[in-house]
Amino acid sequence: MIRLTEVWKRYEEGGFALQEVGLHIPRGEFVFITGPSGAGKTTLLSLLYGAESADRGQIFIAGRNITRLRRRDLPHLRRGIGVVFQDFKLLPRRTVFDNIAFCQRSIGVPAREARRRVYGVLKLVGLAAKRDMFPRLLSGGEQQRAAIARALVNRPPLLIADEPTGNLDEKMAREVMDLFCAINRMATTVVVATHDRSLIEYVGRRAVRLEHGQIVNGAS
Amino acid sequence: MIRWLLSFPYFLREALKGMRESAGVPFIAVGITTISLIFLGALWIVRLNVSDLIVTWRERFQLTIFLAEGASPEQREALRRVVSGAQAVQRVEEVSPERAVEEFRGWLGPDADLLEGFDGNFLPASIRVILKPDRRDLAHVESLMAQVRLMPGVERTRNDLAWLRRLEGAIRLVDVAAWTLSGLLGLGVVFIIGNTIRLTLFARKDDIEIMHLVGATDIFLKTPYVAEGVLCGALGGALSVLALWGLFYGVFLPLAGRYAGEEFAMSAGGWSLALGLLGTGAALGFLGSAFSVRHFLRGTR
Repeated sequence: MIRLTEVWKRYEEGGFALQEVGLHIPRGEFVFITGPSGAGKTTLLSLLYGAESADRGQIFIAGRNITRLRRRDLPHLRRGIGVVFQDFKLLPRRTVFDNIAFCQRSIGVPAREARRRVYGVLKLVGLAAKRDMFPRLLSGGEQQRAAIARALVNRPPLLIADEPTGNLDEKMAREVMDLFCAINRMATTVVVATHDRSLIEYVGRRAVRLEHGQIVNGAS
Repeated sequence: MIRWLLSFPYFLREALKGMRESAGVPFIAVGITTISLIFLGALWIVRLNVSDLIVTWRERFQLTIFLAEGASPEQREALRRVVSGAQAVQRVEEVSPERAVEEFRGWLGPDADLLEGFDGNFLPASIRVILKPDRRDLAHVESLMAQVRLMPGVERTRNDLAWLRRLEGAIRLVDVAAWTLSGLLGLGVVFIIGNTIRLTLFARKDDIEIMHLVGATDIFLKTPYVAEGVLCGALGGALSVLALWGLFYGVFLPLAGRYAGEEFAMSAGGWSLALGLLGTGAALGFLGSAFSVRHFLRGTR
């Protein structure tokens, strides 16, 4: 599903965010990217969904070399990747339902189809009953589940999560991880960046460790 | 493309939502657009009416050849033959002194009694020359006049060309002023709407970030904001038409009728002006918003 070969990325201010990174994640796998703050976890994920581009090296997603992607093809890549962030990035003026439906309408999904998909995904994450609530009225765990629903609504084959439990207590963090495992069981490749070792142990899947922009453990 | 077209109701809803949520800022843009388009519309109404006036006067345009008191019938006949034979001439009318006085009496209307005591033939005989519509220009008129003036039996000639030319000069000036002012006002509206949309874009930066993230294409990202600009412009255009017509029919025409008589006729431009202002507003809104959105999105990718 994901293959990186000799990927380099330099910070704008100087210094390397990633150095000679090589990584292979097969389709349907659940992988943690771990390491201390500043190790390059977020940069690595940003490269995967095209928010940043590599200075050197090749990145293949589902067989497609995204380092050669034209700018106008980027939206189509992103429709196949769900992204979840630590700060949820929910729109406060929209209800849970609208937060997700808005994303569907933004990519041209007809209203009726969007409604159907949103109900389905809210059911999946257990938020159907709270669909008309605004994000500020939800708990942190519920907000993250709404963000996961938004990431899943296009039924992407790849789900990327950057420190998704950073703002959650342990119980909620485990709930979110259980949800990721359930999603992974539906054949979705899941890549989660976290520095929380207890969660990695809780889930018990492969962990790729980054230090100073280099993979030191678990590359393949 | 089909997805984009089918999503139009959604874009409009988002545009209206954006206008509501921007705490009245778009309505300031609509107000300024309205005022600018009122000025622009008024200018074009003036231009239209002056232009219509010139066309009317041109249609009535005629040359008058006043005959000398002692002009012989042969001289009159020769004159009539020469003038009728000229290519530019459509028709020739001979006006006797009696008919001239009658017509003058008619013009004076209720004040015709001013002519009491005058000799019935105090006006000179004349020949009226009506030119063909396509020959009512300076070159044709001057060449005919030059020829006629030298003929025996002619006392003097008169034509309305000089003031018609001055009027045409004036309308050219009005044209230049109208286009210059339209350009300046248009630029102002583009600037105001562009900045309004920029504020909306800043206010909805998070929405745009999410749209980028979920794979919205540029056209889907831009359209709601461009639609908001077009709505602001079109709304300004529609309000300016209502205001202009209100002022024209409610204030200007009654006042003009009172001071210039009931025959006073002016046009408010009709539907063509209304559609013109609506279209201009929408086009200016489109330009302002498209420019802002393009500029803003370049910095967010």
